[in-house]
Amino acid sequence: MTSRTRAFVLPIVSAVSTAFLLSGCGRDYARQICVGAADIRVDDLNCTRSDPRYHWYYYASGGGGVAGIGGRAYGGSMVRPGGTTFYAAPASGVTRGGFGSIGGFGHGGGGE
Amino acid sequence: MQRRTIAPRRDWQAKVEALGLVWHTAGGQPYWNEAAYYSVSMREVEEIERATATLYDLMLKAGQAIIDRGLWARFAIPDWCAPLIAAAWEAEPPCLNHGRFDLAYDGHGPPKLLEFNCDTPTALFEAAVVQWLWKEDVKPRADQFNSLHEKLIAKWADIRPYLPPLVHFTHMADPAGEDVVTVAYLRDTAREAGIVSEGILIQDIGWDGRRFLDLQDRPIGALFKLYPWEWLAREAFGRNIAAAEPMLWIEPIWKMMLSNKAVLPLLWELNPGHPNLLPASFEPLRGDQVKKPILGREGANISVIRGGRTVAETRGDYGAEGFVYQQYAALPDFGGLRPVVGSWVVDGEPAGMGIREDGLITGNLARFVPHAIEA
Repeated sequence: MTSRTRAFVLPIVSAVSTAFLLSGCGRDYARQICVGAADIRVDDLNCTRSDPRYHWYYYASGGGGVAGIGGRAYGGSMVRPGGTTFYAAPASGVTRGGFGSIGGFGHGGGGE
Repeated sequence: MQRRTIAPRRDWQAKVEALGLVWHTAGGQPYWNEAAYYSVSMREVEEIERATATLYDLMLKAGQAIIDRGLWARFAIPDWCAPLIAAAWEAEPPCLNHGRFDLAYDGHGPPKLLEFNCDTPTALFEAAVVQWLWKEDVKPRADQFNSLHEKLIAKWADIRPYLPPLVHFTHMADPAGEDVVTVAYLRDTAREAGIVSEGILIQDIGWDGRRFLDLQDRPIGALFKLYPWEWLAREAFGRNIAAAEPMLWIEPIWKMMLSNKAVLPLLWELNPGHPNLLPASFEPLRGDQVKKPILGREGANISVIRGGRTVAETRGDYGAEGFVYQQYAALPDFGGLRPVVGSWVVDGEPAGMGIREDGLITGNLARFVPHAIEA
């Protein structure tokens, strides 16, 4: 109960995994967007309502530019390939830096 | 509980660095201190374990009382967070439900709760792994109160079916590396449970008007954060938490209640005289006492008052939200080194302990000293 007598696998906490935690990432990943008539991109919410006028449109990893809202989708497919995880694509501008300001203001860390 | 000096392993720095504990020295002094260890008995461990389980139950009742009474202002919790906390408390979203009870314990009287660190607890990797491997090297015949590693992996495996294909882990870029090490270790335990993860610094998280995004603009479906809820709530993206499409926060927002030191007077009010609690109040007490900010971290802005005068205090940026007063509990004194027992829970159950020692106030330069069960 309180003791731990069995051997356990040494966790792989190493300089490698620590470096990975802080490293940047590529932008090569698969995305999905929601399109309507004439493959015009619409808000993703339309594809979550079982409305036959809308369907998902898939871009393979490294598949090129994703249409913005109101833009016509091309370069992808309406058929979802298997074995790949597709991520939603941002529909509008992305802002960053909205978290982290207090921690960055002279505090030693976020732990307790 | 005895403190025993012992020769450190000759190459201890290389050994702990090889494990990933890059944060082993702070301010020129070893943070990881294996020039001593604490020898404890099984009876003492079982007493700590029982107290931990009891305190966790008391915490759950306190959490319900906070919600039922709407004590948000008393806890300096923004109003807009209240419905999110109540909903998360009710829904119990998947999480590790881990935390560290800091206890005053001398091996004679019952362990006394000093505080509960359950939002962003650190000193986890050294408790779970580094001290265990120290014990295997130095005290192979002894035991240790430590099932942290197994319980963390088991809990990740338990919640894995409810997580999206990718779980993000975030923390701030702390120069010391303590947060980095803690999060890297938790990512490794998640990986052991088959969870795919990715790291992102807290300031790199994006917002597209509906969702939080990673650096590849992928929506974040589940986010483990080593970053306090009370900071998140007050920052520019804070209110977006309420507006965002559903996502999992690990740990959940209800931890805002129990990691807040305002819970200490509430616990005493709900359980007056409980052997594992110290008298606590929002007003100064009679006698020796410790003044703590309700939202404080790493021993900052704490005052120890004995005999009517302040005998120790620390500086910091905390205290604007108010203070609590807790009866002074004398820690064991080994030549000025005073150990605090950090008793861990995972999934709400006792899971092990780590001991840090410092002076009258346990701050962020406290030293971690391993322990062994020898009787």
